[in-house]
Amino acid sequence: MAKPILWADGSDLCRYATKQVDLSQAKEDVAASSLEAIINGSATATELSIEGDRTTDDQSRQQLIFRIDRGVAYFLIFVGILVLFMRRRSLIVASLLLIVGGWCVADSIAALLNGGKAYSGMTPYSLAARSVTPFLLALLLLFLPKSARAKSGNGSSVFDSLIRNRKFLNVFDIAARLALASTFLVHGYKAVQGHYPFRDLINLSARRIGLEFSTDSLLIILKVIGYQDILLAVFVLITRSRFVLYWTAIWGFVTAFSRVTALGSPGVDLWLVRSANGGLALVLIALYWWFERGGNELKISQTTPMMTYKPL
Amino acid sequence: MKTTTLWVLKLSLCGIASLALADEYGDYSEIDLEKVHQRITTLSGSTPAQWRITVKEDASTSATVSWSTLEPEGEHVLYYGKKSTGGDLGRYDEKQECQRSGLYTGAPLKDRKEKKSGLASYHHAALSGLEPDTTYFLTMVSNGVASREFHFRTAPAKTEQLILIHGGDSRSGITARSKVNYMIGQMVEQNPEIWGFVHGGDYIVSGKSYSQWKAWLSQHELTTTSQNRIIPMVVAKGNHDGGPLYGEVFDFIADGDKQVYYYNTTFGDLASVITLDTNISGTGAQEEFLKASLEKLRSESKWLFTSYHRPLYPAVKNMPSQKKVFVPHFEKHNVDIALEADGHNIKRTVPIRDDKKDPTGVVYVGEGGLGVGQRTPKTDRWYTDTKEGAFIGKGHHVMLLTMDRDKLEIKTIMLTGDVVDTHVQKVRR
Repeated sequence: MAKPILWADGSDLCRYATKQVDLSQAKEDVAASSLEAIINGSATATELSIEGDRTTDDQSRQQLIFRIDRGVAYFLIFVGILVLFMRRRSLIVASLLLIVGGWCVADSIAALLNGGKAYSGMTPYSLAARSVTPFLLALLLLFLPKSARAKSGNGSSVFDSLIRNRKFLNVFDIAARLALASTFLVHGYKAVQGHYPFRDLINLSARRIGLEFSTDSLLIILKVIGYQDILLAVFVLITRSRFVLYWTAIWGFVTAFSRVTALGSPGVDLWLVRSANGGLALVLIALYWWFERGGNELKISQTTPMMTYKPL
Repeated sequence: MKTTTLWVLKLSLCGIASLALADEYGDYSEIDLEKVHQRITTLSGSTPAQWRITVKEDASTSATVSWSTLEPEGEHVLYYGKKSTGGDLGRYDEKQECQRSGLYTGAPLKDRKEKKSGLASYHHAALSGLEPDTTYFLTMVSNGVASREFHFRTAPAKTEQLILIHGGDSRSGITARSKVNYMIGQMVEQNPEIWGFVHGGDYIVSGKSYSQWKAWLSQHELTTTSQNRIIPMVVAKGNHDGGPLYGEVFDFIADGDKQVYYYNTTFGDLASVITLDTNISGTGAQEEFLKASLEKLRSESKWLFTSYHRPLYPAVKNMPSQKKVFVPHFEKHNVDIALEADGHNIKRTVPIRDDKKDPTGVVYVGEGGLGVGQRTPKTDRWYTDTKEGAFIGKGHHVMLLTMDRDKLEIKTIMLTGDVVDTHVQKVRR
C-alpha cells in the first residue's frame, strides 16, 4: 500500500518523525547537503554556496502558537466545567469532547515526534487513559436520555437507560480497559527500567516524612512497583474484577498525587492532569455496579462477549 | 541653551558607545558562509579533523585532546609541548598515544563491517600534569598523517581574571550554528583572554545519529581561531544527546556499567563549574556528588557556577523534578550563577532564594541559542519579570562571563554583535 504523501521517505515530516532532523533543520536541506559535501571533500563551487539562515522562527508564528496554546487551555477548562453539569444527551457537548480528545491524542503524538525525553516514543500509550477519557465522555453523552427528566418508568436513574444499550456498554468497557491497561503497562515498564523522574518522585515524597532511600533501594522499589503495574494492566485487560479495579483506582490516584507530595504546589496541575489514571477505574466500577443493579449478570473473566445483558 | 548642549553631548556619547559595542563584537549574522566553510577540514583518509578539547577536572593541569579520522587504522598520537615547532614532530617535548580510539557508533553493524571506511573514528588523548597558565602547542598524528599545529592554554592556578563563553542548544540550524561557531572563534581571536566555552547541551537533534554529530563536529572547527588556537570546552549533556555517541565524542568513560556525565572543572582559585546531568535522577549518587562538590568548591572558589541542560527556573517550559533536589543545595552553598539551556531563548532571572526574589540568591541564566530556532519566553513568571530586573529575549546568542576577584559581568551578545543584556554582581563576602 502506498504511503500517504506526508510520510513518503524523504518528506520533512517523515524525516522528523524518524528523528533524522527536526522540522526547522529539515528546511535547511541545501545547507545540510552542502556541508556534507564539504566534510566529505566532494564540494564543488556551487555546492559551497549556502542559503541564508532560515531557522529563526518568525515572531508572528511564535505569537500565533502562543495564542493557540492559550486558547486551547481556556477551551479545555470551559468544556471540563460544562461536562460537570451535563445530565442529558447533547450532541454539541459531545462534539466539543471529541475535539478535546483529538487535542489530547495530538498532544501525545507531538511528544512522540518531539523526542528528546526518555521513552518519548511510548507517550501515546502511556497517556492513553487521559486521551481516551474525553472520547468515552462523548460516548456517554450521546447515549444519555434526551431529557434529564426522562427517567425510566420505575423511577431509576438516567444511567439505567445506559446499561440497557449493549453496544454502548461493550464499546465503553473495552475502550476504558484498553486505555487503562496501556497506561499502566507503559508506566510499569518505565518503573522496571528505573525511570529517573520516578526515583525523584519517591525520594522527594519520602523526605517529607524523614525517609531517604539509596539508589539501590529505589531501584528495587521501582521494580516492585513496575511489576505490580504490569500485573494490574494484565488483570484489568482479562478480568472485570472489582478488587483489581479498586486497586487500580487507588494506585492510580496515589501515583498521580505523588507529584504533589514530591513537588508541592507546582505538582498540583501534574496531579490533576493524571486524574483519569485512577478515575477511569472508578467509572468502570460504577458501570459494573449499575449493570448488576439492573439484574444483569457481569461476566468476570471473559473478554468476549463483553457483557451479557438480561432485559429487566 | 545649556540643556540643549547637554542633550547633544549625551546623544553623541550614546552614539559613540553603541558604535564601540558593535565594533567590539562585530555582526556575524550576514557573514559569507561559503568562505567560512572553506575552513572546515575534509574528513578523508587518516587526516586528523573535527578536533576539540574538553576539560573535566582541573583546567590548569589537565585536558583531553580529541579528533576524528575517516580511516581507523594505524597509531594515533598527540605530539605536544610548550614551544611551537611548526609541526616538526621530533622537536616536541612530549607525546601521548591516544588512550581511547574506536569507530563512532552510528550505522547498522552490516554496513560497518562491509563499509568500515565510511564511518569515522574517534581518538582521545587525555593529558595530565600540565603546567598552569601555559600555552601548549600540539599536532595530532593518525597513521602517519599529521594535522597542522594548533595550540591551547591551560587555566592559571592563581589568576585575577577569567573569561568564559556560555551557550547551549546548537542542535539545529546548520547555517545559524556555523555563524555562532565562527563568532565564538572571532571573539577569542579579538580577545585572547577568553579561556573556554561552557556548552549547556543539546548539540544535535538525535543523539544516536552519527550524521548529525558528524556535521556538528566539523562545524565545531569554526570555533578555532585563524592562529589555530583551540578553545577548550566544558560540556553538559542535553536531553537530545542520548545514545553512545556523546561519550564517544567527548570521551566519557563508563564507570562500571554506567557512564557518569556529572563532574567538576576548576579554574585555579578563581572559579569552578559543577556540571550536572538533568537526564538522570537528581537524587541518589548525583545529589551526593553535588553536596560534596559544593562543600569543597564553595570555600575554594571566588565564583561558583553550576552548568546543566534543563532549566530549574525555566522561561518557557515546566520545572523539572530535579529543581526540588538541586535548588536547596545551590542556595545552601550560595552558588553564584546557574548556567542553563534547553528553553531556546534568552533568560536571566532575578536572584532567587526560597522561591522568592532575594538579593543574596542564585541567578539562573540561559537558555540556549547556539543554532536552534528560538522560542518566545513566557511573560507571566515572577522570576523573569523584567520590572523586577530580570531579562528575557530570543535570538541566537552567546553569554560572555567576565570575572575577577571582586565582580562578575555577564553580557548577552547576539549574532549581530548587539549586547542586549549586561548583568553585574559583586563577589559574596
